[in-house]
Order: sequence, then C-alpha cells, then structure tokens
Amino acid sequence: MMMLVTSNGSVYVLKISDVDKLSNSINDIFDFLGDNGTEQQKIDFTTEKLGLNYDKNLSNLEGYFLRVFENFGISLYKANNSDLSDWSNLKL
Amino acid sequence: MIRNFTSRILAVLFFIFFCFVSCEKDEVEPVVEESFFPRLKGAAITSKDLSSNPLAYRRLMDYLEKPIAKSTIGIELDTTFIRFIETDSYKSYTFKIKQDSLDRSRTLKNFVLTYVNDTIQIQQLVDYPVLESGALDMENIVSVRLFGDELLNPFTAKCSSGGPSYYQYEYQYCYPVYCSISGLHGPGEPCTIDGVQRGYTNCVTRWQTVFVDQGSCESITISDGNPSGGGGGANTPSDDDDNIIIIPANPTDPENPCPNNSLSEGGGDCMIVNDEPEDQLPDPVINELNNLIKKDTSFVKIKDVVNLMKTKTTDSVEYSLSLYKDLVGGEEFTKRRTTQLVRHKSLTSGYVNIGSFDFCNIHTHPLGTHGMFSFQDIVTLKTMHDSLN
Ligand SMILES: [Zn+2]
Repeated sequence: MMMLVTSNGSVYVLKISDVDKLSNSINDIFDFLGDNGTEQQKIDFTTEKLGLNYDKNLSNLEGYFLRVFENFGISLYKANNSDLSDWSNLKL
Repeated sequence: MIRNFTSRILAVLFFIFFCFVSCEKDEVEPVVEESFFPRLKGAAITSKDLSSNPLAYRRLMDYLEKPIAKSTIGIELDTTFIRFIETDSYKSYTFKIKQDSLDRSRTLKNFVLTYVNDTIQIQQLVDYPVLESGALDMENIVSVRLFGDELLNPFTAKCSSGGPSYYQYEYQYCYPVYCSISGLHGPGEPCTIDGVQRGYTNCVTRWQTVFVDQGSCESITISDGNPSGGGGGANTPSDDDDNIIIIPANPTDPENPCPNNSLSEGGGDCMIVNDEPEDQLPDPVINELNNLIKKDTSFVKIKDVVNLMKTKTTDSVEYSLSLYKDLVGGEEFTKRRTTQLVRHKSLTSGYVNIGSFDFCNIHTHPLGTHGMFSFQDIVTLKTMHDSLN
C-alpha cells in the first residue's frame, strides 16, 4: 500500500484491489505511447500530463483522480481524523 | 499500427492526455459499496408456512390435490422442507423433488417457484449434477422454465411452439477471501512472512437471472443471440433491466440443510446472507489500516511518522519512509526501513524500497506539488506489489 501526506494535511492510502486490472491499464498506457522511449520516460511523460490535468481540477482532485483511475483496480482511502483511527473509502 | 484499445483505456487516455478543459466535477463521498445482487433473507419453511402467501399456497394445494400419477411430469415434491428466499421484488420457494437414491447420486433435482411482486409466477426445474466428490457441479446447472398457472404442468405452456421461451443463465459470483494473520490481506497478498498462505478469490456459481415477462408468445420471446421461434422482439436482459430478477442458485436438499439466512454453495458449505450484507461487512482495507496503526506501538509509530511528515510538507523536498514486515519471536511485526525519514533531492523525487517484505511506503507531496497520488506513485505501487512475497 502507499500512504500519502499532502501539504494541506490530508492523508491518503492507495491500495490495489485488482492487480490484473492495474497491470493491464498501465500496459495500455505504455502501448498508447508507442514504441519509442523507455518505460520510465513513458511514466514521466504520463505523470507530467496527469499533473497538468490535476492543475485544472484542483477544486476536486479526489473526484478527478477517482474518475481517471476508475477502472485501474486501485482504491483510494482518506483518513478522517489526525488520529488515523477513522478511514473512508472514497468513491465516485 | 492499429491498437485495439478498450473503451476503458480510451476514457483514461482522454482524461490524462486530452482533457484540456476542467473536467467534470464529481462530488466525492464515501459510500457503501453498491451490490448488484439483491439483498435477501432466507429461511427454511414447511408448506403450512406458505399460507402467508395466498397465491403460492393455493397453487401448491391445487397441485397436491392431484394424484401424482396424473401429473404430466410425474414429479413429486417434498413439502416438508422448503427453502424460502425473499427480496424486495420477489419471494422464491425451492422444493426438493423426491428422487430415488440412484437418481439422487447423479443429480439433485429442485423445483423453484417464484412470485415477483406477489403476482407474476415463475416455475423452474433446476437440476444440479453431482460430481464424483459428491459435491454439486455448480457450473453445469440445468434449469428449465415452465409456463402456465398450474404447477408442474408443461402442457399449460403458453408458448410451446418454436424456440426458447425462457431465458436464464448462471454466472460466477466471486468474492475475496481475506486472511487475517496480521492485518487483513486480499487476494494474492501474503498472510505470513514466508508467503505460503495468501488471500485469494473464491468464485461460486450462485446466481441465475430470470427474465420475468410472462405474457403472449411475443412478449415471452427472449433472444439468446439467435432468433427465437416466438417471432417477437429481441428483448434481451440488457435492453430492459426492469424485467430481470436475480435468484440465487440455492441447491436445496433436506438431508443437507443450510441454516436460515444462508445459501448452499453446492459443496456442503453454506454462505451466510442477511438483509443488509454490505453494511455489515467491514472494509478489509480499513481493517488492515486499523490493525496496522492500532497495533503499532513499538516499532514504527505510524501516527508519529505522519505527524512529522505533515510538518515537512513546506520543505522544498519530498520525504518518505518505507515499512516492511519482520518476524520477531515468531510474530510478525511492521518495521521502518530507516530510522529517520528519508529526505529526497527535490520536490518530486522519491525513493521507494522494493522487496519481498516491503509492503508500504509513506511519502509527502510538498507544497507546490499535487495533493494526490501521481502516475509514478501508481506504477510504483504495482512494482511494490509484484516484489512482495
Ligand atoms: Zn507521490
């Protein structure tokens, strides 16, 4: 799992719910980006493009993220308190 | 080169690469998982209990008054043990058909009588082949729908000529089986440090869909991909979901009864159901987080790590910490890969420990970067998963 602490104090957890879906989705993106370039270049490129779209969706980043990665086989959780004792599974 | 992208990935590509205007704003709310399957209650009843449903009771009594020999199919129902299932839209009664022991050793035969909205009657003969192990072959259920008001009288079929006049299929219902030796671990994830025990996905053929419509030949006509003999429209389930009900395939045998509020899985096991199943099932990831954080008293102190990270998000570099599983005195514990937070070179550069026991990474996205996981994070998560024991 991956835990993220953001500058506004939010704490998120990203967890794989379906590894085959995740694998296929990532590979589809790599395929889409063609035969030139290394995998890391493709990851960097996509990370940057995604970041630009995050900029346009700052008012609802969570919703944007869930929408883009709806079928990636990953699930997003958010801590409801600073005690990390209460979590929500965020959904569209 | 032509690439064959699914609609799924096209949508993602659109969002990532071509979404030049602010994309639709969906409000995010934590919600309870919607289940495609109906919420149901189940019980074992006798024919007397059926009197609470006057139509079903009358039809059954009419049937029972007939000499069995005159019954056109010659089927005799065991009315001492009826599996009753109730959902918002239907009530369903499953009877075991009386069989001799030789016949039973090959097949379990059930009769399923369903009333949709207390009016529409659906009759089905359902055969479950018996496997060599004695378990039922839930993947090869044979189900035939009978038409007409009288029970078990095929000659009352309203559409006896031509092709299929019913539509149904069974399909797999899969659910994750979590192991909970330390935390909860989903399908494929190791439960023990040696990775021998893992969570897995269990699939059972449990549900069948039945097309409800029961009128003229035209309206009964259901397409199964081939034109049917009824000459009517191709009303597939996908065209009109309102006409579909989902009935659990619930093999019923008084000799091997499942408790109330449970369904038979065909191999002797029973699956507990209840009227609010989704609400009562704990989210396994939340359980895992709670186990991870609440049991975490000595080695990691995740709350302290997170609180410390919160003070570091104004720094112009990213911080991270990787956690791994370690065996201490035969017990599995979560530990830090490094005693201190790892300070990286820039706002967005990070480093994640990848290895057989490295199951978790915590990191910051500093001020000026995005308050959400990056695509790199998602790929890294996958890499971590692949390397886990
Ligand atoms: Zn990140």
